[in-house]
Amino acid sequence: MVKIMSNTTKLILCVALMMVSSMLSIAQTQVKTITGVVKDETGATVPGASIVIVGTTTGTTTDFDGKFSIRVSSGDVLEFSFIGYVKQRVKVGPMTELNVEMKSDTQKLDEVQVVAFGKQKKSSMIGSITTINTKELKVSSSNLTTGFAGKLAGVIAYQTSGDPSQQSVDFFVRGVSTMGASSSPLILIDGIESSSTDLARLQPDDIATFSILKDATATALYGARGANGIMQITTKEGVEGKVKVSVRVEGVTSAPTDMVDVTDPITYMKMHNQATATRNPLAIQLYSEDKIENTARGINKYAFPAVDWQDMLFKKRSSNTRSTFSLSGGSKFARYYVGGTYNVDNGMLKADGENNFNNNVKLNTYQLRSNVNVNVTKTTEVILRLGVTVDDYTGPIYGAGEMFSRVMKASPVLFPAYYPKEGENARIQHILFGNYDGTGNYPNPYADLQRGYREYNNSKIVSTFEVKQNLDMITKGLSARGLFSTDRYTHEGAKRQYNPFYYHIGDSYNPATNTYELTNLNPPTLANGATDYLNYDQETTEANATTYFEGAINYDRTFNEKHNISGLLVGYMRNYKTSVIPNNDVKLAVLATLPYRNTGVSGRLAYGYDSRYFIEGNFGYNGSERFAANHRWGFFPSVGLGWLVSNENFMKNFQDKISKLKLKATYGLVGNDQLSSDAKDRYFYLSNVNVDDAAYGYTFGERLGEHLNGVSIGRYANDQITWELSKKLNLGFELELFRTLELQVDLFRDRRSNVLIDRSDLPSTAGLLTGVKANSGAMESKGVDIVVDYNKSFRNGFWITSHNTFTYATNKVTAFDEPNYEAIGTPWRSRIGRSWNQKWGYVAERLFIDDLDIANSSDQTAFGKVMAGDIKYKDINKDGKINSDDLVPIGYPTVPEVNFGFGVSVGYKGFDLSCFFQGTGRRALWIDPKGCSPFVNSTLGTSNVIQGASNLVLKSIADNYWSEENRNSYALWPRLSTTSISNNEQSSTWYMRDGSFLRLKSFELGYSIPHKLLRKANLTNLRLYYTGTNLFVFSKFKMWDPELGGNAFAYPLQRTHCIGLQVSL
Amino acid sequence: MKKIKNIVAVTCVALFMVACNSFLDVIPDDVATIQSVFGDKNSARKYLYTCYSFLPAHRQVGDNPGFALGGEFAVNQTDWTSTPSGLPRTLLETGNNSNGPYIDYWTRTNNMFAAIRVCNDFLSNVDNIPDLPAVDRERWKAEVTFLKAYYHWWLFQMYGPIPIMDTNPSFTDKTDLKVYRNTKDECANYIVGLIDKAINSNALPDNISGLELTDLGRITKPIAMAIKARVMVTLASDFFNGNQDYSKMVDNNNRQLFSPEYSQQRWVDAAKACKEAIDFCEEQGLSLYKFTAPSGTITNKQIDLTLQPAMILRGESPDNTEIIWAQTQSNPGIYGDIQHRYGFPQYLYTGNPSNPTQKNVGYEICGSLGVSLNFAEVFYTKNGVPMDEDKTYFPKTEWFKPDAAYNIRTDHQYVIKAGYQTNNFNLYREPRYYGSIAFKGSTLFGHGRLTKDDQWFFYPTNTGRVNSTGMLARKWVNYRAIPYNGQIDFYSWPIIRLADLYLLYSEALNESPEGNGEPAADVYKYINLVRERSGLESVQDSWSKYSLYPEKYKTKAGMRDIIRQERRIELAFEGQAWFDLRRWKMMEQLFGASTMRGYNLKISDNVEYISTPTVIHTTNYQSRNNLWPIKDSELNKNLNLVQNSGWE
Repeated sequence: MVKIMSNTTKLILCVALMMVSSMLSIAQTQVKTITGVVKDETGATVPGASIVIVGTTTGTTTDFDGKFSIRVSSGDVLEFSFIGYVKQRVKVGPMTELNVEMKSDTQKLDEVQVVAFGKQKKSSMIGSITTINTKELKVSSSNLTTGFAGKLAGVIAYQTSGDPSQQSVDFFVRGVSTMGASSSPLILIDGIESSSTDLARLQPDDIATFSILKDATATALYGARGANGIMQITTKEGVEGKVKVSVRVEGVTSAPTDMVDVTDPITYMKMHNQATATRNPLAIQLYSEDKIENTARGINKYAFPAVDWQDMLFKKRSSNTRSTFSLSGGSKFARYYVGGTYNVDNGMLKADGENNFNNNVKLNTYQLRSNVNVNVTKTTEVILRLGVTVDDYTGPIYGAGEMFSRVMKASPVLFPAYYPKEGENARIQHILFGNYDGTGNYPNPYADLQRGYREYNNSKIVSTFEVKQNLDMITKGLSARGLFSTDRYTHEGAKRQYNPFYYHIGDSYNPATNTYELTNLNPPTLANGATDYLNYDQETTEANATTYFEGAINYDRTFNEKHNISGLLVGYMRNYKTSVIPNNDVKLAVLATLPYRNTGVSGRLAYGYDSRYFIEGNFGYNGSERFAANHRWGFFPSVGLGWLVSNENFMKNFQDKISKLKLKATYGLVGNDQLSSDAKDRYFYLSNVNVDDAAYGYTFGERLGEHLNGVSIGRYANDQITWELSKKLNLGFELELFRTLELQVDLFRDRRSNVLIDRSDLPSTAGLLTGVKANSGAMESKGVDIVVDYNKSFRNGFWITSHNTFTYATNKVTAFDEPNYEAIGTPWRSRIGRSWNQKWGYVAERLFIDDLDIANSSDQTAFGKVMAGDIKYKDINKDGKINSDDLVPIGYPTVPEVNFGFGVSVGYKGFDLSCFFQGTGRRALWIDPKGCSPFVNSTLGTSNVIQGASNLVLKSIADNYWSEENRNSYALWPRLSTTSISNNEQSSTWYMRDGSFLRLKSFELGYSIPHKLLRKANLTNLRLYYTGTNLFVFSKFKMWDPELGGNAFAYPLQRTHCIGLQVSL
Repeated sequence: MKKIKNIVAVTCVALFMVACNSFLDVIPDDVATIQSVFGDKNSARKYLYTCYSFLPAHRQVGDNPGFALGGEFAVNQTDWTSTPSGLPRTLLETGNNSNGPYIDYWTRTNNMFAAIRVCNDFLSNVDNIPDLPAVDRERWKAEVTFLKAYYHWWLFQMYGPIPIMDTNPSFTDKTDLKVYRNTKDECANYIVGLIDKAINSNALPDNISGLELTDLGRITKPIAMAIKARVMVTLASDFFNGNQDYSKMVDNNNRQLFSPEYSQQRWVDAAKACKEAIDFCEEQGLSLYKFTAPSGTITNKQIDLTLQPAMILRGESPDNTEIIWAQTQSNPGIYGDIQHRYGFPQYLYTGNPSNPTQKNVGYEICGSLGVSLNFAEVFYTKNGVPMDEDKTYFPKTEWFKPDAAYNIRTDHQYVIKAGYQTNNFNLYREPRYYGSIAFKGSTLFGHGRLTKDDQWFFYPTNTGRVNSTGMLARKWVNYRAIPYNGQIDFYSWPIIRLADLYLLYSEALNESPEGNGEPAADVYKYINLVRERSGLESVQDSWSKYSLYPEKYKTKAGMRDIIRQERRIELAFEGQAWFDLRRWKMMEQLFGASTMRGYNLKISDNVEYISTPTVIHTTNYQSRNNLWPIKDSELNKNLNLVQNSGWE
């Protein structure tokens, strides 16, 4: 914190210097003081209104009586502004007293909305678009997407891990509406397609607008890419006027919301022995009575260790700093916005002095954004945008999440983290890491942390050049635009590590002398033995490049003040290349590194009559390189109707009460060409034959010398494959009451067809070497999204705003390749009519009581041997055996169907306070039985096997499990085992919990120094604030944070406390 | 104005380009296709190898039902998700299931149907390969024809009646895929017919030794004939011939899939096929192999006989002339050393040097597959008769008594560590017992120590994960391997060898005539050849001299028992056990409601250890396990398939 403060001091000094220079540059002549009162239409005074001299940062605010006084020169123009009122400019001239009447902001309806390929007047908008005040998106993490849940109407979002280095937020526009490969929205930053990582890294301070395009009219222009919705972000541009500087500095401490409790080492050992014996009385128990007793007595912490790895490796909290600055301004000819960011994220790991390198995670992020607009002629504008993001990372070999997982899977009692260098080992240079047997077959998280480090550098550069030309000289209302953009991404990284020296004590402990001897388990002489030097292991360098071109013609003109006609025709081409070869599979290189291309023409034609009736048609006609020539191009039309009821004459009388009422309906087609995330699946119309596949090779010969690799088929050709199609219907209304309360409701339905799915009904007798896919899936999703905004300012300077959202999105499968379950007599297994995110499982009745109970129950041998204390399942079809025929849909879908958020901000004088609650409903949570089962190695069978891993014992399980002494048929956990028991790992209602929750997502308290004081320093704004996120959560599920889902040992979500300072001048 | 014109022009050009479809043509023309594979004889050769690549890994406990259900092993681990070593227990104790069957060759990745599809593809394209000499073409065709038969056979052995996939179905036409199971006899005729086609094409090479060694492992005429003999004997055996158990199994066309009829002629035909195979193999110079230690290795006859079972498996030419077909696919990377891991003491094993990352895995499962006492009892006494039939041997009640004379005994010094006290059970057994099984105190000649007086010996360790019965299948690791130095002796796994064929012939010939008369001379001749090679007297002599039932060999029924036991001993740990016991319908009798036994490793006192064998687990083999269950999901996809009896 001290460091942060000293940084802050430096910044303030800097700022002060800048101010001085700017003051000097203002040449002031004919200075006088002008005073006055600001009133509203009713004649009441307006306190707190701000008054600024246009073109400068000099200003003041009205006092309680609406009075003000400011020093000006006669040529100045004063701008009066206040929330809910129209800005007003008054030229000073010779007067010394100035009374201003401010008008309520009825023109608000004519704000401009960013839409696909352009902007539209908000009043004439028919499409369903959510916009959000970018202030709402501010988060105290380096991941913008963590703030989505509950704030964006129409977006379902949840976070499954708190690992800072991973993009762990899943978000879907209007829920999951396809079972295809991708249900993620298209992300456009300044019109350029971007990745979810780019979005996560975006600085809220740089964002000018953030909108989500949801329905057919809003997305049809993106044709084959828009079906999953679009997130459209524009970054800030400079505005004409004096230079504005804004600086924000934050110090953030971050700590887990909830650490799971695990048992003490003694209970751990006893339960382990119990788990061994209860399954197999013949098996030899790992921990002798002696060992348990000696550990309890703590006679020698190396011979009888009890290690708290979590405490040893993790700090209680980490501290991060974020600083951003921006500079903007401009003249008639050029405007600029420059933003910079420097963030430092520190991990929670404890760095240790034993090594020469610091192993804690340190992620430095630098960002620079520069947007420059130049008016080349009166009608031509050139825009240059440049965005640079650079990440420098150092950290342990394994990432934070992986380290956390290793800590939760390491035995606390088999060996200490390391042995002291004493006696005959005193002169050994390397660390004497502990291990148990083999050549170091047990995870030692301390060694994993100390064994080396990983570094990487990412850089991403996006540059855009845009020309806008007003073509009024050809015909009024015509303009054209061209945009060229290119971006580059590179990643390079390397690991430096040694192979740790593992030692063990074996049976060498001598209780008489309290001494032991150490044996090296993996001497360097072994093939894969220990090393005391670092090796260098380079990561695959990634380089991606995109070029994008877009040309557009716009037309917008109102005839006879009543007929508004607007049109747009746009064409674009996109080319993306990557050096990334999936799994480093050289044979895929040919296909994976070919450019990915999209191209298309889109258009919009809109007609508005008298700002009351609106009709709009859109189309996208576009193609994608990944389909056969006959399926390459698609046409996606959409149409929308709107009626602005509040502009009708008969509504004029109610205008004070119902200030806006708009009804709208849209319908259209949109596509999705993201058929597969797998590079090898790019060209379905071609077969994929690997003519050099070692897995299909064979060896002959006495000496096994005659070997040839074989031929395998990765895909059978199918030229019928095409994109999925979405038919979107949206019905909505917008209502504004009393000019303070705004309500937006949209009902939607999305019918997906042609979804590419595996043909799961092909029998094995067909002998196919690989699955076959077809466009045979269909799905329907529907729901509603609602936004309620409330803004009100009171005369006494008190203001309140509230932002509330509710999203409900549900889906059901309408066509799916599956066996005819009706004919088989198990109709409940059919996916048709069920949510795509529905889970199937067994109905767990209770735990088996004894062998007799097992013998009298339905046969469960499909899951291996069953004993008393294992889960008993219900025989749904009553055929005497439990098998997949007894799987029934259980619980709510895994993806929440409801996201909601409500928040309120209030302010009075310099103080502001806001809090935001976020909730998730209609979501079920399944405790992951394998991941939570005590002593089980849950990494077996995964792609990331950790030898010798063994889950720690959750306190909640230790307190309530079935044992031979405590034969509770309804215990939380079934009979223990040290290995996986398939019967108890089946997906079932036993582990099902209500996953809904409500959390206090953020709380913010701020204080702005009064303008009077600031004026002396020539500052416009100085605000100090505290923000806390994830402060607490309400849920029926108490074992751990419910948002994480089923795995107790996932990296916990982070609770952050942030203190920040924001300065503008 | 000019500027504006330019901008308009640029926009127009852009739109024009957009319309240009060629922007989207980003595919190179020369992407590999199936046709291109057969466009050149060298790529086509790869496809030939691909046809072979589907051969089930006969050496893998988890891939070969002959191992997994054979009852030779007992383990105390029930978990086999990480290693296959728990599978024998799971299958015998709990049984298989139809929800997610173990060893599921019907639906697993690269299942036998996929193998058949690849063979069919090969056969329908092989004639299009340019410049392939006719000799090669015919040979390749005959090889793949045999493989296609073998893949059908593998399925047939496990599932009984199967759908014959003589040609490849299209996968776009749904009805084409809803196949029916063919009847047992249709399958039998089809498989034998295909093998005959391969044999009679005369395109298969006659012998192995005359060929370049690089071709070893490819199908030859002796292989085809020997497998045909095995197929014919299996089809004649009790399970497939006259079995009433499946008479009610009919499909939805009311066809009876598994005929209960008995045919004596099957035995006659089988005997004929065996004899033809034997004669042809012998013509090609094959003979039983007898091991004697090479000069420089200090052994004696007792040690040589002990090393022999492993050296027969080792099968290295030119000395070993017995192996007819060995699976050369012994990928050293993936469990290629599996027999070393299971058959060798963990404390002498450092892992697979050719794949260090597998080291941990190897270590984990090392030695964990314990040989059951049930199976150890099968081996004869030194007199070549069963333990409980030998009138000169310890009575059954004294088998597990400690050896009272261990201090002074010298007649076992080369098979049991000097000074170690074992029980009577391990004394005076036949050489194959000492050569196949290591028990506590067994000496392990070789492995770097090549003198008879300086030998490693085996003791089970009790660290819990390792070994469960105190006995190992030492037959799997021959004396030349030095696993503790990383010298693993990867050897090709024998699928069929001459001794197997001899015993099949004895068996078929014994069964050929009706009635229970005295067997033909050849019945004795061929079994005696096998016994003699292992240092035993003839059946006639052994039984007359030592057996409690000296007349046993004189009847067909008595000889049947003798041949069966001989076969179990000779082919111990070779992946045959379940296939044999099942065709004899003996599985229920041996493992119905029984126990698997071994020593209790928790006992540290030696005398107590050797004298109190314990139950490792119970067994519960039900008849339905005689045919593998078809996975439920497969039946759901194709309603024309019916499940095997007992698994519905």
